[in-house]
Amino acid sequence: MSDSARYRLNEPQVIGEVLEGELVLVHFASGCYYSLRETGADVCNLLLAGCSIGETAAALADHHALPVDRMLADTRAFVGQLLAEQLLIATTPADAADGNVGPVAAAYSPPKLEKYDDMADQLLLDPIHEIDQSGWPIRDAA
Amino acid sequence: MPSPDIPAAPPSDAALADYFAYLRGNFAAVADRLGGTARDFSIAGRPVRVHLAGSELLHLARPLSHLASIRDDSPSGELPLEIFAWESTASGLLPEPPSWDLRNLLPRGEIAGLSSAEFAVNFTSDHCLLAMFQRSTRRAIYWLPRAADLPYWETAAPFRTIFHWWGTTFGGQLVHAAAVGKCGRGVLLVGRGGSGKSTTALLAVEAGLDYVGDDYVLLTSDPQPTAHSLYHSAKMHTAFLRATVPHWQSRVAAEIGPERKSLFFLHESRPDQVIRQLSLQAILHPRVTTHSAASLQPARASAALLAAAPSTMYQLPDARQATLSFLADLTRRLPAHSLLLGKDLLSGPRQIAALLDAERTYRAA
Repeated sequence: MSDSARYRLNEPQVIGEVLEGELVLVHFASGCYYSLRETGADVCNLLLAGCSIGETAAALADHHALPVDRMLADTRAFVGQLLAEQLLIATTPADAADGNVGPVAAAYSPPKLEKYDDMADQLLLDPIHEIDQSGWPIRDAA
Repeated sequence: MPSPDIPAAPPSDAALADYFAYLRGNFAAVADRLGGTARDFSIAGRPVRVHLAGSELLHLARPLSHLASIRDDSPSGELPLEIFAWESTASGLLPEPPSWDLRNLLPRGEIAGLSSAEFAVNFTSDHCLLAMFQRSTRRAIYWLPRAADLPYWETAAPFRTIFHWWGTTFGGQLVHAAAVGKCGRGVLLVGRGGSGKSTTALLAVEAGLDYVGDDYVLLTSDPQPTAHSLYHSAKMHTAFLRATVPHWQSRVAAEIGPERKSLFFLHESRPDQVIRQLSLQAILHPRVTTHSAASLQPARASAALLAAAPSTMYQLPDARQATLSFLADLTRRLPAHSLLLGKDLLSGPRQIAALLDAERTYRAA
């Protein structure tokens, strides 16, 4: 993982919505869903706006007046989590990051990903009946 | 016939239109042979007509019977949703498979790569249940080979996928939720299966509140969030029923599912309490606790969204960003609460009634 790498949401398998500053992500392939609050939402929003890992860490360091090395380590670890959950995928460098996006959390806390997997079994349950090669039922309907 | 190894490309609109017309022909042939029935309903104030060929699927009209209406043939009337529903056992007229490949199936019966502005298609391979919807005509196909294979949840809440597609044509959204209330105003109960929303809804009926649905409702958001009834079929765990509301046993229509749930048709025993719609005042997320009595706690909007969205989206085909955005908008507009359920079972409905009374007093002031 390079600090200059950039990422985008793993659409269409993953969709998201921002609600009162909290980012809610739903993964359709795994059946898991996620909540990102405060610094976690800030990091993800910066990445989705086109910032690299390095640029995201620099924005956090500037906003919270904290050492950039610490922000870089936390951001790298968090991006690793997001990639492991297949919520983000690498993309080509953007021409420019969206200048209107910046950290908004009042206080810094290490970014956290809240994962919910209580519905995964319902999504993945899809038993297959007897069907022919084309997928059509083979049973005699008569 | 496609290659057995390489799934073919998704079907074109023309191929879908051809197959839709072919299936309409198969329906007509079955109706000619066995007789046909049409039932008219009004859902969310809009006309719906269900055409049934033969008698094997007639029972699917029962969960909707509280919404029965007289057909409006006036030319200015809104284009009705027309559902053509049949099976093939009684007639022996099994339709030919489509020319397009059914091996591209995804969970929830979606067909990989299918992207049509005109047609929606769903094929659940576990029950061989095929649903198609043509958006411009608002006509829908609902077919399966054998009525006996119809899953129990479809018997209690039929045509869900079609209602979901149809709702999107007028800004509606089918949601996995319950809705109860009083005096035309109500709350939406959200959460995954087992969270307590259905039980709370049925106990609300016992406490005298009005009922729009206990599992699935159709929401519209303009001019204000409103829950519209789809089904008056309601389910409760049989063991729980015997322990808590034993006088309801005489109303049980059937016991369904591996979990042994008692199925009711509420409008048949409580016609005055099953109503067509409620104006929503709040979103409640029930949670079972060991407290003695139920209580309400303010909740984050995102908590309501997390309770409502995945359980809806993971059940419905083609429910993606638009569905999540609809529910996010709803949670922005309505206050959210956790409903902490207690051992005093009727204290949950009392909390709901008190919340609605307080909201009314607040608005009046």
